[in-house]
Order: sequence, then C-alpha cells, then structure tokens
Amino acid sequence: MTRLYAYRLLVILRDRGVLFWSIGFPILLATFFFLGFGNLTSRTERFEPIPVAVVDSGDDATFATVLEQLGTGDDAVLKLEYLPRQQARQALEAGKVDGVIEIAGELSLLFKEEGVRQSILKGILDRYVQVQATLEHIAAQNPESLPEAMATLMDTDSIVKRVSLSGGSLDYSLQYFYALIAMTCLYGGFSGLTSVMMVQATQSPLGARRSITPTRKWVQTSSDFLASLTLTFAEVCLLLLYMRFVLGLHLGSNAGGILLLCLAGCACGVMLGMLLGALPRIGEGGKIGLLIAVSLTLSFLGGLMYTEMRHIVERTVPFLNRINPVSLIVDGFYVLDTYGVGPRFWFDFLLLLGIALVMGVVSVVTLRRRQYASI
Amino acid sequence: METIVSVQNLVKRYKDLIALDHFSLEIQEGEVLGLLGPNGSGKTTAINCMLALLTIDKGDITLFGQKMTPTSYAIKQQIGMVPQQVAVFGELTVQENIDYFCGLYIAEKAKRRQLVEEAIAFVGLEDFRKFLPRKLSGGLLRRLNIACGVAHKPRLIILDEPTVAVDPQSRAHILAGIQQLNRQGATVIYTSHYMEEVEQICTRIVIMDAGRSLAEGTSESLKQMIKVGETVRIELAGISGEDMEVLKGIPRVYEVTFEDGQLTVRSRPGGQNLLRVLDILQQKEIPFSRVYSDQPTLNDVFLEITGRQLRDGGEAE
Repeated sequence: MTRLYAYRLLVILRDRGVLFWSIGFPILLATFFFLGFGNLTSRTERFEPIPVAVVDSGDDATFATVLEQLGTGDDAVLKLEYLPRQQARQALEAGKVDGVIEIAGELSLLFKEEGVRQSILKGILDRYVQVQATLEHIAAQNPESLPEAMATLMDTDSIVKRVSLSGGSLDYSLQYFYALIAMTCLYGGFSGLTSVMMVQATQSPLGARRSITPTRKWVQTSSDFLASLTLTFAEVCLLLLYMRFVLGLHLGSNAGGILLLCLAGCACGVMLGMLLGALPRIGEGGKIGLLIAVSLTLSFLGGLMYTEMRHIVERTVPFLNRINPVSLIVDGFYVLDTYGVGPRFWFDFLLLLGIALVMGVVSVVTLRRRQYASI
Repeated sequence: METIVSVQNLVKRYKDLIALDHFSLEIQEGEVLGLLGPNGSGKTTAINCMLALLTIDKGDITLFGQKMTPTSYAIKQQIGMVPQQVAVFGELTVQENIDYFCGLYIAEKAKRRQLVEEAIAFVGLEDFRKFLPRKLSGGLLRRLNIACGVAHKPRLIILDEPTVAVDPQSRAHILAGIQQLNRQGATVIYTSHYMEEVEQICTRIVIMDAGRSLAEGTSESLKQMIKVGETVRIELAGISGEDMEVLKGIPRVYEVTFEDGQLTVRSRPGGQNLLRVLDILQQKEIPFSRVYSDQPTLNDVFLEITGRQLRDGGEAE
C-alpha cells in the first residue's frame, strides 16, 4: 500500500494540468483578489496607530481623557500630538497627521482626504458624541440609573465581542480568501476523480488493467485517496503560506485549528471527486464537467463570488450551509478568528468529516465488486 | 495436462446485439491459442468475460479449474493481461510503470526488482528505462504494455491484439517474445485479426465470427478443411482449350482458367501440382515467364466459411 501511495503521489506531482488547477490557479486567484481588495485588505495587516493632532482648549475634560486612553498602551488606536491650532493645521497639510481634533466648545475633526483612517477618527468622535448625549439624557430623565448606564456604555469589551452569528462584522474581503481556500480544498476532487476513474474497467484501459489484478480494489482506492489527500493538503498549505507571507493576510492566529479545518476540507474535496468518479453511465468528460459545476456552485453558495451569499443562504435555507463544505470551511475560519477553537468550530469540523465519510462510503459501495454490462 | 481455461456455452448480449452466441472454448496448459476473427467478432468480449470484467447472460467460465468471479484473487494472481489499448501511467517512466504493475502481483521488493529487470530485458527496453511513455515510439510503447502484463511471470497470459499499429521490427520482437514466454511454461491466449501472426505463433487456432466459434484446429488442419489447396499462377502468352483440358486431368485439380495472360490452376488440398503443371507446359512447348505457387491461408479458410474476407473490417470491439 505504501508503494501504491508513493506512486500515486508521483503521478499527481508529474501531472502539470492537475497541479496548475489545484495550486497555480488558486494562487493566481488569490493574487487577483488581493489586488482587487488591496485597500480593504490593508485593514487585516497589523494596525498602526493613527497620527492625529489634538488642539485642546480644555473645554471637555472627559473627551480629553477618552483620547488619552485611546492613545496609550500597546493596543493604542491613536498617536496623539498636542499642538496649537496653527501648527496642527500645518502638520495636517504636510501629511504628518491624518486629522486634527479640536476640543473647543463643540468637538470638530479636520482631515485633508478621505480614507479608512479618517473614517475611524470620525467614528470615534461620533461614538463619543452619541454616548455623551445618551448620558445627558439619562441624567436629566433618570439620574439614579446614571452610574449603571455609564458602566454599560463605557464597557468597550462588550462592544468588541458583539459579533453577529451571520459573520457580518467580519472583514468581508477576508471571506473571499476563506472561500478561495475552501475552493482549493474542493479542487482535490480532481485527483480523487482521476483515482476512481483508474480503478474502473469501464472508465479507462488502466482501470481495466488494474481491475484484473489480485490487489483488492479497496487497497488501490485507499492508497489513491491518501495520496490525493496528502497532495491537496500540501497545496492548501502552500496557498495559506502564500496568503500569509507573500500577500500579508492575517487569516487567523490559531494555526493548528486552521490546518485541522483545511485537512477536513481536503478530505471532503477528494471524496467529492471520488463520489462523482464512481457514478455509473457517465464518461470522464462528463464527470469532470460535473465536478467543476458542483465545486463552483458550492463555492458560489459559500461566498466566493459574493460574500453575502452565505448569509442569504443562512437566512433562507440554513440546511444548505450545513451540508456545503465551502460554507463550513469559511465559517470555520471565521469562528476560529473570532472565537477560537470552541463548540462551533468543532461542529463545522465534524460536519466536514461526516460529509467526507458519507461520500466515501457511497463511493466504496458503488465501486465494490462491480461487474459491467459493457466496457 | 491441466485445463487452464474452460468456457461453456457463453452468451453475452449488448441489448439487442448478441456479442457471444453460445461460445465454447477449452485451453490446455502450454498451448498458444489464437483467437482469430475480424473486428467485432467477439474476441475482446470473450476475454473480458473470462476475466470477470463483464457480466454474462449465460454459460460457465472456469480458470484453473475454479469458477471465475470479480473476487477470485487467487486466480487473478496467475493471470497476465496485455490489453488492446496501451494501459500505462503517462507520468511514470518505463521502469516505474513495470514496477507498479508487477507490484500489484508481487509484494516482495527484492523479487520484484529482479522481475522488473527481466521484463525490461525481455521487451528490449534497457535503453529506455528512464523514459516517460510519451517519449516512446508506438512499437516501444506496445512493448512496455506487454512488459507491464507479463513481468510477474503469470501462468496464463492473455494478449489482446498486441501488435496493432506496430512497426515490423517491434512486431517480430513481440512475436518472438510470446513464443519465448510459452517455452518458459506460460499458456497463452492471443487474439488478432492478423492471420500471419496467428499462424506463426499459435499451436491451435479458433476462428470467430459474430460471437461464434466457427472452426478450430491447427493451422494445417484448418486449411485441410477447405476446398482450396495450392493455387498455381503462370504468366504466358496463350494456351489452347485442349491443353487446358490436359491440365484439368491432373489429380486434385478442380479449376483451370486463363485470363489477362495469366493461367491459374487451383487444386484441392493434399498435394503439390506445380512441377506437374510446368512439366505439361514444357511438353506442349508453351512458353511461359513468371510462375507463382500460393498455399492456402487462414483468410481462405475464413472466406470459405463466412463468405467474407478476414480483413473486411467492422466495428471495433
């Protein structure tokens, strides 16, 4: 079995067509995605504090304190520079700061150009104004509940952890990359399909030749499956490395969880190919076409072309997301990045393994002891 | 002597088409049996049924005295198959391909290594062992196809049209190799629609057409079964009707014709009439130039039995 496994690895490795579609194409697509979403993906890189000039006339001590908090510590959002108004505006003109916050009577924000950083600054000010207004309102209407309201509103942790189950708060551009990784897992179906074609007498001369040998079909199929799984997993790892170290994407910090998820995804992909390869009465061309159609459809439903798709499916036919390997992989990545390894991650992971197992059992039953009416 | 293959009343239908029509066959150990028939005659179907690749509608098949099924692994261990189409991995070298297929039969590494070397030498691919199949010519590719089927030294070797589209040099190499395998003890089933090949290497021949076994025997015994024996053709300027009557009087001669400057004398099997014909022409002082003597072929046998040429063609099997 080891020898058959090694030879199958060699066969796949020397098949340039399979290699291109399995790894070359996803890498190209990842590069195009990166170029297309370059502005958005910058958010996924390590966050640098936003340089901002503060003109503080001492009118709002509370806001000054908030700014101070945002500008200190390892996870500082702002890099504060307290300047007189004239110098602050000169710094803005010179591009040394992204904005000028003036605390004089009303809060004001000046910026030279619009961008992500300026949006963040505006968000901070809006949020503060909103909270301040709420607290003033509570103080006027219900003063005794003011301390509790303040505690709730100032509890920033509760805001950070509040993530919708649909994944809406996740960086959308990353979901494209998650879906791309999932699609690459499914592309393992190509080698899975080829493997099964090569053990069926009706599908290829090689299949006929292998069918009449004393080596059991399950031994041949298992070694082919393991080789296909190994190669597909290696290809996905290569894609992950490319995304992380060449494109600089932050796909998550739990490497073990990511690898486990990808392994289950690859098993699903290879088994999908084996299942389609075992279908009777369809030629090789038809099966390859079917595999492409199925994997693209699953990828589409999983959000490869339109990230909202997965959420639309979740709202309308949630069961589809439970049986779609692409959706499960994307969700697994999201869960890992947001919550870490937990019940929902294991749910996704086990569902993937279950789907792979079901497809494997159906393939084996279909192939087992098969004789043909015609070859 | 052990009966290696026994096929009794085999019937195989493809919907309305009867591919094998109560086909029967017995092969004894050490034989080289030729299955001769045009394309579509049922040769490959018969082999696929024997190997349990195809379901059968009726009949019994036993190999090595045991019923053949898809899970008859002990029987499969003793069979080597060389399919009509080249069936090797395009991504593996010559040596790797032979090792791969040999390994499906032989687990022991050292033994396999030796068998692979022997197979490479047997088909004469020593200089091409590191070549990928796409770099090989058609003839060399066929040799690789054969090596993959026989490397494990099977007791029964089935070769399905192994010389299709092969150059004469490779064809001669392949045929000599098959005879060598037989001398080493292998029983061989050889299918072909090339009668010369079958005549050359087969100890017994079964002529097939439309899924039936029409005749069987040695090459000579099959030729004895038909009306045509020797055909003598002589180029000459002219001959009288009286002299032609004299030629018709030669024993076993059944037809004498003269057309387009060529005299044709056909005899029944059982004797050589060339010298007698020439003797009569000399006695009658009839000048002649070129002389040809044709012995009957298996094509003549097939023609007489079916009314068709062996190479009339037909659909591929």
